[in-house]
Amino acid sequence: MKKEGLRRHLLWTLVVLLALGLWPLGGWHTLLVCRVLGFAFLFAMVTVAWNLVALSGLISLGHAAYFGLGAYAAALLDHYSGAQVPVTLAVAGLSAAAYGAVLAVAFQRLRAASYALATLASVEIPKVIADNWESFTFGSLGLVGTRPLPTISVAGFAVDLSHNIMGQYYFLMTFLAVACAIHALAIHSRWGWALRAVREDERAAAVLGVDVFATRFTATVLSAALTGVCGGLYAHLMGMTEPDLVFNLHISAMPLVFAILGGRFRWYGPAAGALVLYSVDQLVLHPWLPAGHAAVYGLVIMVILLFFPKGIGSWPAPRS
Amino acid sequence: MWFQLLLNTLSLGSFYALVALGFSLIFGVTHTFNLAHGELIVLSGYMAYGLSKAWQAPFALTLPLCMAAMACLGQVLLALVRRIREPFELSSLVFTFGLALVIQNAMLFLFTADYRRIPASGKPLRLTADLIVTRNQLWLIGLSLAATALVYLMLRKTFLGMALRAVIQEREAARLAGIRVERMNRIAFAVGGALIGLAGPLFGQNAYLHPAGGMEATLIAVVITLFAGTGRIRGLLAGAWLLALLESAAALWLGSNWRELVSAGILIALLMWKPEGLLARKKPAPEL
Amino acid sequence: MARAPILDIQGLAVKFNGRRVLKGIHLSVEQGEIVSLIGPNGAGKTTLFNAITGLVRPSAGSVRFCGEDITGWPAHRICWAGIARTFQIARPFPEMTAEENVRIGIWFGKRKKELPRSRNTREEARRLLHLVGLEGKEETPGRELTLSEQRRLEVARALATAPRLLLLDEIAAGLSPQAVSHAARLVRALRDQGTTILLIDHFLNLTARVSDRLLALDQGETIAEGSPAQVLHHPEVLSAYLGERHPHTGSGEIP
Ligand SMILES: Nc1ncnc2c1ncn2[C@@H]1O[C@H](COP(=O)(O)OP(=O)(O)O)[C@@H](O)[C@H]1O
Ligand SMILES: [Mg+2]
Repeated sequence: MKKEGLRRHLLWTLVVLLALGLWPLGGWHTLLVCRVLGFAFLFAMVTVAWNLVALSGLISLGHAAYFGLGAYAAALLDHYSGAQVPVTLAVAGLSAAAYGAVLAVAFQRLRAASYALATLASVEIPKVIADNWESFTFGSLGLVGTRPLPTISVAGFAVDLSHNIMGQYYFLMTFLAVACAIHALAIHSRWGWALRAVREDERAAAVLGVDVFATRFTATVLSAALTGVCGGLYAHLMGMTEPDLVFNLHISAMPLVFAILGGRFRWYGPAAGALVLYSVDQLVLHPWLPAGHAAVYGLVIMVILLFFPKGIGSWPAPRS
Repeated sequence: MWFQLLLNTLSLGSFYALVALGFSLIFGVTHTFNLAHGELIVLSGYMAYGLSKAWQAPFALTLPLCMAAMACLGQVLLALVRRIREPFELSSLVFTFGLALVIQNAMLFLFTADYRRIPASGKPLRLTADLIVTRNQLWLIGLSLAATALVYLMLRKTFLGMALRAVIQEREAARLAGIRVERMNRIAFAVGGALIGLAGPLFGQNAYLHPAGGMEATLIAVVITLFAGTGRIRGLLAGAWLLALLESAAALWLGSNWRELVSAGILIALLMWKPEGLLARKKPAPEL
Repeated sequence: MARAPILDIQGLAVKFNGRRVLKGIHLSVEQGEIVSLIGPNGAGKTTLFNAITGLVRPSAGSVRFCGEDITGWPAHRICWAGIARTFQIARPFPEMTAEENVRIGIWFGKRKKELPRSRNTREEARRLLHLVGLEGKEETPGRELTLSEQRRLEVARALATAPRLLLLDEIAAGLSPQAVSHAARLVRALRDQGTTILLIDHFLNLTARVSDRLLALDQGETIAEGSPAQVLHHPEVLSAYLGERHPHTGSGEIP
């Protein structure tokens, strides 16, 4: 029975991958769908990153902090030094990771609701700074004119990532694949078992030799770094970075919604949730309800908590 | 100038006390961690704005209407929240986070992202040569303090208040003592809702309404409640004034926009100091 | 007995919110001994375990293990050093199967480089489950086990870290007479394999059968120490168990 399940699982994965891979060659509204799916890949990556922390038993409501920091790091570096995109992205990831490391240490004793609240508040700090340090960050107007992604050459082909939607599509897909691989590792490796033990009962894990702090620290820093890279990509894709845009509450909410929708304990769950819901939101709801379409994210959270409490898997159960 | 600053702090702090009071009451009695608290306040503010725009309703009339509406909404929220499973504190927090998003987007849809303000109710009064108090501030101070005092008297002097306090302190013991906890939950949401309803129009008169403006109010309510503990009205007032003072000081020395950093910073500091958060139960031996 | 003790506790004190729960405990345990801690509820026995295993930070005193000062070490390093424990209220990983529960101990119980390269963890986990009488439950999730099964799982999991010192917190409380006998046999067998054992036994149903030595605690203080016969007939122990308080330690009346 297990074998059959595995085979079906592989089949489905293959079908989805093929569909996603071949869509740009000709599907329904190709250009629009590819643009939306490209951003869906980006936010799927954020979701996967968010889930790394969730796998250690903590719910973060503050991933916009890492995202925004990454976006600002890339945009500022681009503006002041004109560094190449790989450099700006690396710095984006590093600066978010640094903030993640600070938070992981500062919040190491916080759990459950306290952690959620503290992370929620942690977005305010970089946001207010970005908003008010006019001479450096240009305040609430933000940075404009960030250069788009460059043209890269893959196996002899020049792929223009600045304007070619298809190029961006495959480029972002590759990033997502890497993120998913890390996520799979966080579920199936030795580190994954440590995360699982910490999530299910951290005191028991500690006395069995699991280094609880190190396990969580790694997860948080890795998650922050990935989210920061996404923020950097976003800055280059959009060409502008504003505090209200990148430190937005919705950016913190999205990964939570996508992950609990798609399932948090399988390697593809968070990504699948993101691809489905983000596309529905952008392709169906947005044209129909330009202002307020994002209510669907809130609704999904509410409905899942009310009617499918199992759908969000095992929250870390409260133990003293 | 200093008196002016003090007066502004007093009015801001009194309002903060009102904001925190509703949150604290609902959380203390029902353990619902209402992250949509600020959004509900902004919603109530928009309601008053709509009433005054559409029907030229006088400000004094919008207050009871908003209070009644929010008290009813509170009952709806309670009915929903009751279905939520353990761990209740975290789950209710995430649930109301979702609710906050829904309300934000609904307000965005109904009132657009423009900044709105309920018109002032009359000319400012000049108390001394350089001390000015606006009528809005008078409303704000008077009503906030009156509401706080009423809740205080209710909790301290009435039988119902005693029952509520018993539930806040030891829910299971209160249940065993024959207090109908379910009913107390409804009352807490009704009173808390009414306080939200009161805070909204006052907010809309003294500051600009914006669909995304609620989270700040929520953070303020959480900070003050965390500082004071649940069901401690005097601590709540002290915390509210202290926070207002710190914010005013930050605004004075750093510039008004840095003010927002204060409540977030204090919240993080308080949480790091009291990691158990609001539910630092006085449980005896933790099961190890 | 001239060798250094495997566990040496000097003046260990623990405070919770200013309340002194342990007030300077001295205890040393020799390699291969079985020592029992007894005492009324709230005496501080579990807290002593927590302080030894790094879950609670002592306010004073020191813990030495195999000659090394481990006071204040984080819990996982104390586990790596060779101390394992069970919890009074069992805490299995609820969503993992019994076998996975044990494998966590095998995989993480030692430093990564000290772990044998190609150990068959599955075989090992099954052997340990068998040892505590959980054969047939390998695939059952932790939360679905009965309370007594969960407690036995805790023992298996602790053994999985290959400890030199094993701390057992009330493993025999509420067990049937046969189960107590099984537990006693297990404890003796473990000792015979070289594991030193410190056990808490509030209900005194294991103590008399297995322990070499007893330590009686009350209100965070040692009130008696010695052979089982000596301690169990010590007047202070008797009165502590009867709920009576001595005039100099506090109030209370003879019921
Ligand atoms: N984490 C804690 N916080 C506060 N008090 C505690 C904590 N752990 C134990 N105590 C207190 O310490 C005392 C001793 O508890 P414990 O060690 O569990 O006793 P025993 O295991 O001997 O029954 C009790 O009065 C208990 O209330
Ligand atoms: Mg105990």
